[in-house]
Amino acid sequence: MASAATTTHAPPAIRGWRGGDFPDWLSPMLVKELRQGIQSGAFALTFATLHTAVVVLMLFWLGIVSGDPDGGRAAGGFCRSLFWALLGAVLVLALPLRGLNAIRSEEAGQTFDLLRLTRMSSTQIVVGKWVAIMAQVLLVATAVLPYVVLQYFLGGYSVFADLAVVGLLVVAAGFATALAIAISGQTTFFRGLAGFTLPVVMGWGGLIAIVSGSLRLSADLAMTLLVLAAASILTLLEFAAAGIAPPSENHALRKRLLALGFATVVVCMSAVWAAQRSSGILQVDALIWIQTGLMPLIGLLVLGELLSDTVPRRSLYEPFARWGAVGGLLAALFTPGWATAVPFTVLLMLLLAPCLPLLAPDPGSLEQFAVVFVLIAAGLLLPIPFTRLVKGTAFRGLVSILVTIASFLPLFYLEQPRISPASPAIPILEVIVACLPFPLLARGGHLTPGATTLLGPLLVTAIVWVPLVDPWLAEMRSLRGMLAACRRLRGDRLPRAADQGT
Amino acid sequence: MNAPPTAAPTTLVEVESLSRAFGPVRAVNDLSFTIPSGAVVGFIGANGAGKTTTMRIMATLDDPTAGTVRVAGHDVTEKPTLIRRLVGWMPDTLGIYADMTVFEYLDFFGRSYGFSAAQRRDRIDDVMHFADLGPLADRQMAKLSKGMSQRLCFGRMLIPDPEFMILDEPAAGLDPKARLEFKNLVRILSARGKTLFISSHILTELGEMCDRLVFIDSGRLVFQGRADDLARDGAAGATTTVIDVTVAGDLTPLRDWVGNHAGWKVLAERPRGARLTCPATDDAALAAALRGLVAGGIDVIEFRREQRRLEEAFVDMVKQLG
Repeated sequence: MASAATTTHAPPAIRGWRGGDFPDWLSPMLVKELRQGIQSGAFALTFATLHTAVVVLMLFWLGIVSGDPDGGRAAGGFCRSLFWALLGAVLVLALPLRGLNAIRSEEAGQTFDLLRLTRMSSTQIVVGKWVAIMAQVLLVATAVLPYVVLQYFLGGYSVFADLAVVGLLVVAAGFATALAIAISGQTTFFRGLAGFTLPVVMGWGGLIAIVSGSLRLSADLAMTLLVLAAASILTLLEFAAAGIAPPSENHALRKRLLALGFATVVVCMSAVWAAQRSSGILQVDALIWIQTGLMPLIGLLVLGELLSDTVPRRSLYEPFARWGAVGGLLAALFTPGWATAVPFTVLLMLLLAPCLPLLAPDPGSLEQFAVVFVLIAAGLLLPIPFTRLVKGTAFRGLVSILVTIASFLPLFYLEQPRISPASPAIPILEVIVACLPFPLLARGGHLTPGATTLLGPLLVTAIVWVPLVDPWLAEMRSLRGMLAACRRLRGDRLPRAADQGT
Repeated sequence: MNAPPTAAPTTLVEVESLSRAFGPVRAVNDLSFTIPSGAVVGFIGANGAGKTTTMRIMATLDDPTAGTVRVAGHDVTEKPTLIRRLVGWMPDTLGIYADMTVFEYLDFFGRSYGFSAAQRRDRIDDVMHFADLGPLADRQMAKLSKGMSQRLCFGRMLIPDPEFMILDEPAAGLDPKARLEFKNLVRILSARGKTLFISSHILTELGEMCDRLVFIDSGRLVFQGRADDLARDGAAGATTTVIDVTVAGDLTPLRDWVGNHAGWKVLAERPRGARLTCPATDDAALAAALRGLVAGGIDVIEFRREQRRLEEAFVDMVKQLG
């Protein structure tokens, strides 16, 4: 037992230093996850089971081909489907599902407090867990490559097409893992629900694998999937990190920068699309697909911020206080809370607005796009006054959904003339419906683009927002006060430091 | 680890009007106390008194509803990153990672604190030697006993060599040998100039280990000061004296005598005597009390004034506060 008697002597080195098995530059969380994975044997069992099954399958296929080359082709279809199903099940289902326990295991083991006191940020924790699972995914994907090549010799299947499918499965696994980790911080009920529905959702990877014979991965599709997967993974991991982060970490800044980044990509792609159209060059479909895929992510990020609370921690405002007026403006856009999310949303909409004329092929389409755009913008802001009546992001999200659905209900009224042409239309209701900020109302045939459909939703949203103006102004004043306090403290600190120096 | 400081002790931690509410429940209620640099301070309170909540706020793991906590002059809510470099935290639960060995656990935290391989090697060597974890290096964490787990938790806290250590119920569930070992570790750290803040229900142990004590009840401060002041008669709030009386023969006359005299009470009996509280607090009153006992026919063989036990002092103070 160590005692005061031994404290004056250098302690004997621990026999066999084992801390160098992973380099220092690797994330500590990744190292931990990999070491635990090795100790637990779960991965080894999965790996060995997959290989055993695939080897048996290949031997079966080989046996058939050897005996009857024609029959081998027929059996090959079945064997290939089974191979891809097995691989899909492991890569897109079994391994990513371990992410469902990623955050809960830390909470159950009561280790989060210990982690928060280290230098690891919440982002490092989450990314480390994601990378650990993806390392195992890549290991499995690499290990099955010989079997992919073998299929060429057994049935003449295209190696490159098959390699592309393996790549697709890895990308799908990345998305599935990020989704599982993002959900892993939720309540037991929600995780249980996700644990039931996620296999169904993630099973699409397996389905794609099964039908890979008819799937031709075009360059456009590949680029789209890659970009959208990367964007989704970034978004999901950011949500996961924000969920476990202490108040001192400004995840509002990161989420909003992510949204801005995606919006910038959308604008750039719109410009490229417009340039291709005007110059007559063959247009890349991926540009439109990627933009369409990024918009929901931007919406999700913005909505999350609009539902969030202000965090009155001076440490979050100090970095902005150093930059004077510019810092004040940045703080009004990038500090946590619904109040700053409103001007940020407006900024984002202004940034995306130029996409409309770039994407619209003709003036008529531009008007339609403009109506949809205005409805989306108004639709994001309309529920906020209602969400401020409840506490908790989950409840606010629910209220937001309910308000949006309520805006959708009049669409059924609009459908009446189609179902029952004899029903009389009530003009005033049509005007009201036209003013409700819900994008589906802009479906062709229901609304004619014009001043009403452009200004109506904005006017309605503004009216609903009237009770929230004072609270919003109070929040912005509080932000100014926080920045002023930071500047005062910095001014107070400087003379003391100078005094100590003398 | 650092050499003991030579400068006069200063205040390392200031808790000022600290409050923390969880909905309608005020776990901590306008609490104020200080912790001098280099001191070992005991933090005492019943279950649910607000000890863990207070400690978590000091360790930057929770935010106060009102009030401030300053560590080395820095507000814990404004400079959490800086505070975390100064503070070590040992919770009342180990925080287990299944399928990890003791060495891997310490190496993980060494990496998490940003130490290079060479630094980790030195730090882990030091910590494993200090906490006697060497023989356990390759043992799975799930297979550790309670005492081993506490030593490991202690070792993990020491990896970044913090100046200020917060320990929440560190001796809970330990056998007497493990408690002695733990007390020895605390003494060594104190000798090295570290500041320790230890919560416990075991008041006598804290009284032996700690220079200062902070009592809280229902989130409010009951007492803060030196353990010696509290144990001595005449400390703030003391209205009785505990005496130990040994008698010849049966205890019945003693019991009867105590029952007939206001302010006297039997605390505990033993075969040939009893611990009593009496209303006397000074020497003259005690001498009169002894004369009273003898005159009452009690065959007193031994009459000894005892130090007030911390538990008794705590209970007295809570009663006065209530």
